[in-house]
Formats: sequence, structure tokens, C-alpha cells
Amino acid sequence: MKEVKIKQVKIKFFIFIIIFFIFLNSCALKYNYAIVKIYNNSSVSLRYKGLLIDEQSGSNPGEMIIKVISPNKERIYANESDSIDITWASFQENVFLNITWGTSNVYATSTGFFTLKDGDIIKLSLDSTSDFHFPNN
Amino acid sequence: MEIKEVNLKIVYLILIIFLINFNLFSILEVNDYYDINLIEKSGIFRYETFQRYNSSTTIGLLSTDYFHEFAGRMVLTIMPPELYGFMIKSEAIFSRSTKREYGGEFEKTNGLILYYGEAYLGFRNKYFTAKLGFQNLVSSDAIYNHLLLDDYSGPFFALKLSFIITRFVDVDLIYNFIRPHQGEWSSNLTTIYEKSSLYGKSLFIRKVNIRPLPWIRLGFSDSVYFLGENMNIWFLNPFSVYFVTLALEKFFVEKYGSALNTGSSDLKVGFDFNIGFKGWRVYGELMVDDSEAFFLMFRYPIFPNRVGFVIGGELRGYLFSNYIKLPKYFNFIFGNMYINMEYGVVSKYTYSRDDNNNYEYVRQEYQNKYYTTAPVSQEELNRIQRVGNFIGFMYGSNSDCFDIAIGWRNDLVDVRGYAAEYQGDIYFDSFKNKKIVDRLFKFQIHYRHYRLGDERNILTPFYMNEHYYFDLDQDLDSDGDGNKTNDHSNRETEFLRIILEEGNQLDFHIYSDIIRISRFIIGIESKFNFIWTTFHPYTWKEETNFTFRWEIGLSIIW
Repeated sequence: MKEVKIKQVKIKFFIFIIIFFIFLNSCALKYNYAIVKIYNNSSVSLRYKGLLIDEQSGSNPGEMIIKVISPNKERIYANESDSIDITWASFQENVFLNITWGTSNVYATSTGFFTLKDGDIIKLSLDSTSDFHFPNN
Repeated sequence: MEIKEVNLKIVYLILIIFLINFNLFSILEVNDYYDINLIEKSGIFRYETFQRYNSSTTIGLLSTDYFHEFAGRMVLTIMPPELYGFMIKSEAIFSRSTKREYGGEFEKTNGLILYYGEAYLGFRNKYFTAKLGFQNLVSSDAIYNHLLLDDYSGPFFALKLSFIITRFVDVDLIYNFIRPHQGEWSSNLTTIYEKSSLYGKSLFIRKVNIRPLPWIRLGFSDSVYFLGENMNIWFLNPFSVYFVTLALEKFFVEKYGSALNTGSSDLKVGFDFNIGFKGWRVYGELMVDDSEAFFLMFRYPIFPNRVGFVIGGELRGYLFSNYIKLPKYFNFIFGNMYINMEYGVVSKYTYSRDDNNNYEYVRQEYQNKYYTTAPVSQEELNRIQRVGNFIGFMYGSNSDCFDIAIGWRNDLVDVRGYAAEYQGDIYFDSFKNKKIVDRLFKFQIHYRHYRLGDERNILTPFYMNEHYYFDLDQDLDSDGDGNKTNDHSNRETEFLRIILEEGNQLDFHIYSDIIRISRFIIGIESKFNFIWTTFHPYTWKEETNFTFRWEIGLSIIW
């Protein structure tokens, strides 16, 4: 009888561990991640910034915070490139990002807000002399 | 005779070379993740006892990431018996490492750099302590992390006065010069930068410790971190409350542009406690960081309110073995065992002056950020961003850290149960009986888990940090009161909502005395360090690096 009891306890223990690990797995954090690669196609150096709408920060669009994503480089020189990466919470499918740039004023030209999805690797070519068009479209 | 003269000349020459090359406030080479001072973070393992004041250690370090270091340190504490109570402490470190840049005269020494750690003059007795010089100061009795002021960022030039008023109250005054002011004072920090002179940074702390019982300490601190001239008469006054002084600023508008303007003075208030005796203690620290005291004054938040806290505890084996009768051998093993655990977290935007990431609360800003021709490399970025540049919490804002350690040392009874050396602790500690051990042996297993969140880029120059509102729309009136210049942020602080880096560290630390001759002891020390660092955790880009480091050192202690 005693042996059976010990066995039962062992089985219960293992079931508990399995359930615990399933629970842990379901609780696991997950983030979405995208990379935006920026190339300077113009003949002059450019400054740029990313503006990201933080949808968790408010219920109405007017209240939402726009996060300013500052690149590590102050300027991208002609024919050089830089990249920024964005991590966001997985329950938001998309985020909206805007890249603005200019020669002296960072906000001279912008891509307008576009959608970023998990796993995106977007390549943008900046040129201050012409209007911006997405390479994908 | 001639030979002696030549020798003297060489000695003078070496002295002059060292004096020229010492940049007293430079920390970039030192304050790096590969800092040998990191050994100081070993918690109770490292806590020195009352017995041993002087040591000289030679350390060799090998790592799997092609990093190796050869280093040595000498710690001298001179306490002349003729001048009872006075002491001179000095600490010199030399190091040659593959990760540390060197130049100038150090090229002649093949990269063997000499720099110093603590160096101060002090006077200490039961009731009063004064220290002047470079000191490793901490703001609470925590074992690993301190929020307001941490020793990991290295020694600062400070005047520290501690005195006991009654058995129930003791007071600490710390005038800390993080960096001396150079050049004229201007409210426009960019101009000063462009002239390649640096503005001063100071941290003045005033702390009152209340002890309802000798083993209960409740500390209340009021501190100001300000830029500009270090000798600021408003803040030097020991009887003024910084919180009130800053509030008064509203009535002294003409002070703007002087050393006291709110844009450059940052108020931090803190509370901390340390409760415990004879083998157990719990401790904690809470810090509220607020640039303009609006949060504390219950007014609208121009800046998000930012907080950090540390909580931890310690248990020692003799707490149990004193009450339970155990066999003598087992008593020796179990009685000298200890376990400690600590968690510290700091919310987003803490230590920054603005609501975005304009960090001033760092030992040294990244100065090349204004050089357009030489942008920062990724390697340099990782190094500076990581650890240790913050004056407070080692990992900076929007990060947390969990530590657990288990260890054994045979002089555990003598290891003090406090870290910040408040006068009350010194007073009550002086009554305790000390145990003198013939031979010291200690080991420790320590595990650390830390997480770093987003928006903690200390490199970002502040011209890139303007708030969106200020940037795009000068005519915006966000609160609708008709005043366009008082737009405030609706940003709120947060605790690690998005994690960009995670790390696990496991280390084994061991020390043993080998030989004892007269008062000199030769000991050997070793550390095995396993580090796992995960970048972009929980995303498809997740990437883990593993590093193994081994350190070995030989010490002479007296």
C-alpha cells in the first residue's frame, strides 16, 4: 500500500511540474521587432528621426504620445546608411512609424506614418530633392 | 653620489609624467563593464572586517571574448597611533587590459595604466566622522545596488561629515563634487561644450537617520544634483532644506542663469531603512527623482514622476546555531554560512533631466556626441550604454536587477551589517565584541539577473531629445490655458514595459589565506564568472552571447 501511495505522489508531482511549465510557457513574454534601414541617396548629409505612435498611452489619437526615436548618428552622409530597430509589445499587431528628415531641419520632409509589422525589414532611401515614395509601393 | 642623483631625476621625471597624464575626473577607461572595480560588487564576500586594513593584490584575468587583463591594486590605511582617530586612506590600481584605450606616455609603459581609487584624509571616533577626498560613497545599507549614489561608478571628490546627535538621531552631510566647473557659467550647456570646457556637476546630500531602537534605522534624505559652479552657497548651507530652496526659486526669477536655475538643479528625495541584528537584516531604499519638485508639490507634472526602489535581506547561520544545539563541527560550518537576496528597479526617465532622455546624472557624458565627423561606433555605444556610468543605480534608468548569493566565511561574526557607515552604526558597532580569526577562508556563489528596458540611450545629444510638442509646433497650447510656453508632457513613467536586453551572471568566488608571517598574510583569490547576455529577448531577433571569465589574484595583507 505504501509503495502505491508513493507512486501516486510521484505522478501527481510530475503532473504538477508539467502543468507548471505549460503555465510558464503561456505566460512567456513576447515582443514584436522590426528593422528600418535608411539609405541616404542624396548628395548632401541628412539628419533624421523616427516618430512612433505609442497607442498604449491614450484612448484618443490626440492623447497618444509620439515617441521620438533618435538615431545614434547625428547625420547620415551621402551614400551612407543607418538603421533603427523597434521593439513593441506583442498584443499590438502593428505600430505606426514616421521617418522625418532634412538637411538642417529634421522635419523638412517625411514619409508619413506607415505600418510596421513583426519581422519587417524595411529599406528606405531618403532623398531631400524629390518627394518620398515607398520602394514597396 | 652621482648614481643617486640620476636616480632622483628619473623619479622626478616619472612623477611629472604621471601628474601630467592623470585626468582626475576621467572615468571612461575605468568606468567600463570591464572595470576591475567590479570586484567591489561581490557583496558580503568583499566586506572587509575590522582586522585587515592594508592589502596589495595582483590580479590576472582571462575571458573567452578575447579580453584579458593584468592588474594590481594596493590599499593602504595609515592610522598613526600618535594621532588617534586620524587616518589616511589611499588606493592605487595599475592595469593593462585589451579593452582599455591608452595613449600618451602610457604607450611607453606598454599600456600599463596607473590610476587611483579611494584617497582621503579622515578623522573618526565614536561620535563624529569627517572625510575629505576621493571616496566610494553609497547612499544606503544595501549590499549590491544603491539608488542615489553607488560605489560602482568609482570614487568622487567629496566632503562627508557624519555625526551622532543622540542615540536616536544621527546626521550625514555629503558635499560631492562629481566634476569641477570649468570656464564661465552659462545656462546654455551646448555653448560650453562647443568651447570644449565642461560645466561642473555636484551632488549634495543631507540625511537624517532615526533610530527608535539601536537595530532599527530609518533614513530620510534630501539631495540636490546641480550643474554649474560647485560652491553653491544656497546648497552649501547645512540648515536649508533643498526642497524649500528650490521652491523659493519661483520668487527669485533673476536667479535664472545663475548657478541656481531649475533647469540645472535636480531634486531627489529618498527614504531607506536597515532593520536587523545578530544574523538577520532587511533593508531597502526608495528614491523619488523630480527635476522641479512639481510632483512633490502636488502640482501638474511637467516631467513624469520617476521612482526607484531596492529591497533586500540577509540571513546568517549563527542566527540559528546560537539557539539550536548542534555538534561542534556542524556548528562551525553552518554558523558561518550566509545567504542574501536583493531586488532593485528604477523606472523610466529616472536620472534624466527632461522627460525624454537627457541624461545628466552620469559620471561622464559621451563627449564625442557633438563631433559630426566621428560618429559613435556600435562597440563604443554598447560599452558606454551598459553599466556603471550612472552615479546612482548601476544599470541606469528603466532597468532592474536581482541578486542572490550564498556563501561562507569564518569571520562572519565580524562582518558588519551595514554598508554606508552612518555614525549611529559606528557607535553601536563599537560596543560589540570582535572575534579574531587566525586564518581567513571565504567563498561565495552569486547569481544575478538583470533587464534593461527601452529609451535609456545616454548617448543621445539633447538637440535630438526635444519633446515632440516643442519640436513641431511652437504654437501648441496642450493644456488650453492660453499659455503656449507651458506645454507639458503626458508621458508617464513605467517599469520595463519593453525589454531590450537581459542578462544572467553566475559567479564563484573563493579566497583563502595561505601563509602568515608576523602580521603579513599571503592569500589567494579566484573568481569564475559565467555571463549570458541576451539582446532583443523574446523577439525573432533574439541572440544570446556567452562569456566565461576567470580571474586569479595573489594578495599580501597586513
